[in-house]
Amino acid sequence: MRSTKDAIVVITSPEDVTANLVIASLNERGACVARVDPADVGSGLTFGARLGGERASWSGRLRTTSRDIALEEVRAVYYRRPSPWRFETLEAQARDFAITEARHGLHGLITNLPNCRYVNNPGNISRSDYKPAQLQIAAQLGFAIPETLITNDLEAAKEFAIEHDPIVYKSFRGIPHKIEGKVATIWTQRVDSGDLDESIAVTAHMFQAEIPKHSDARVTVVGSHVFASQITSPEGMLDWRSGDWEALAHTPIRVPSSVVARLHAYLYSFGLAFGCFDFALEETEGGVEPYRWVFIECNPNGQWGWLPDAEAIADAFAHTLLEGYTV
Amino acid sequence: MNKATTLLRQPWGLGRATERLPEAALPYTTTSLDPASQLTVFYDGRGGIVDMGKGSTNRAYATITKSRPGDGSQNAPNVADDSNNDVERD
Repeated sequence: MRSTKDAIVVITSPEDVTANLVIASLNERGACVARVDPADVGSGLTFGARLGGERASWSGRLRTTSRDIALEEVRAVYYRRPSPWRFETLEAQARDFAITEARHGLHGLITNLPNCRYVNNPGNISRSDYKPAQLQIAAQLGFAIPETLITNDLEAAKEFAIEHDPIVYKSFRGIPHKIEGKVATIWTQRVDSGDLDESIAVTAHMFQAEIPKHSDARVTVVGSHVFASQITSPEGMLDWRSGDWEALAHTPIRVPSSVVARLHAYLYSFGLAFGCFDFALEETEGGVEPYRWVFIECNPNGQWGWLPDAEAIADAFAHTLLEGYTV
Repeated sequence: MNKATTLLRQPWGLGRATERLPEAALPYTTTSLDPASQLTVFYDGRGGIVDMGKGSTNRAYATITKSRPGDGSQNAPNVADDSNNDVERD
C-alpha cells in the first residue's frame, strides 16, 4: 500500500459523481487520495486516535478497505456528501445510540484534524446554511438583497405582501420524503396576499419582494477561483430549477469586481473556502454595469457538476486542497 | 378558527409544494470503488461500465435530477439541485 503522507481525504458517498471529478483531478496532480464514507464505520472503516501525554493533537489511523491513513498526516479534507448513517441491523434505540456516538466520535474526529485544510469545514457549512445568517451577512457586506420577511404571523405576511407586491415565497429547505420516498419540492413562487391564511402560524415562512430580473447568475467560488454562468430560461422563469434543464442557456458572464470582493468577504466571514452563489440579475439603465446583482443565497455545499465549467471547477478544488489559497 | 384546529393543519408553505416530481431511472445499477484511483466505477445491469465522467450527460443526471427512485436503497437523493432537506443530512 502506498504512503499516505499528505493524503487528501475525500469524505463522500460512493454515488457521488462530482467527487469523482475532483478525485480525478487530484490523481492527475499525483496526490494521494483517500475516499472515505463515514457511514462505512464497522468492518469497512476502522479508526483509532489518541490524545494526551506527549500528544497535544489527535494522532492515529483511519483504515478503509483500500487506504490506511495517519490522521496527523492528512493535508486536506474535501467534505462533500457522505452517506446517511446506516446501522440498519440494529434495533431503533441501539441505532440511535450508534448514530449519535459515530457523529460525535468519528465525524467529530475527522472534522478536527490537526494541521488540516477543510474545503469546507462542516461546522462552518452548518452555520452558513441558515438563510437568516446568509442574508444578514450579505446585507452587511453591501450586497443588494431582496426585501425579506421571515414570520409565522399572518398579518405581518399580508402587510408585507401589500407593501412589496409582487412577493415570492421561498422555503428554507427541501421537503422531507413521504410517499414511497418520492420527491416533491417547493419552487420559489409568486404569492398574492389573498393566498395567505392562518396556517402561516404553524411554522416559519420566508417571503421576499420579487426581483424584476432579466436572468440569473450562478457563481461558484473555490479558493481564489471564481466561475460564473448567466442562466437564461426560455420563459424567464421565476425559479430556473423548475423547468426543463435542457432548455436553460448557460453563458459565461463577467462578475463586477465589487461583487467579486464581496464574494470572498462573504466566504471569509463564514470560514468557507467554497460556495455556490445565486444572484438575480436586474437590468440597469445607463449604469457602468449592465446588471444589478441581487444576492439570493449561497449554498456552502452546493452542486456544480452540471455547469459548463465543471472540469475547471474540479481543477480549482484540487488546487485549493493541495496548495491552499490566498485571495 | 381556534388554536387546536390551526395546529392540526399543515404549514402554509407545504401547501405550495409541487406534486411528486417525475421519476427518472438511475443510469447505473451498482457501483464499486477502484482501490488504486479511489474513483467510483458505475455499472449498468449487465455489468457494463457507465460513463459518468467528462462529457457524459449522465453526470448531469447525478447533479440535477429532480426525483430518484425511492426504494430506500439509494443514498441521499439530490432534490432539485441544492435544496436538501435536513432529514437526509447528518
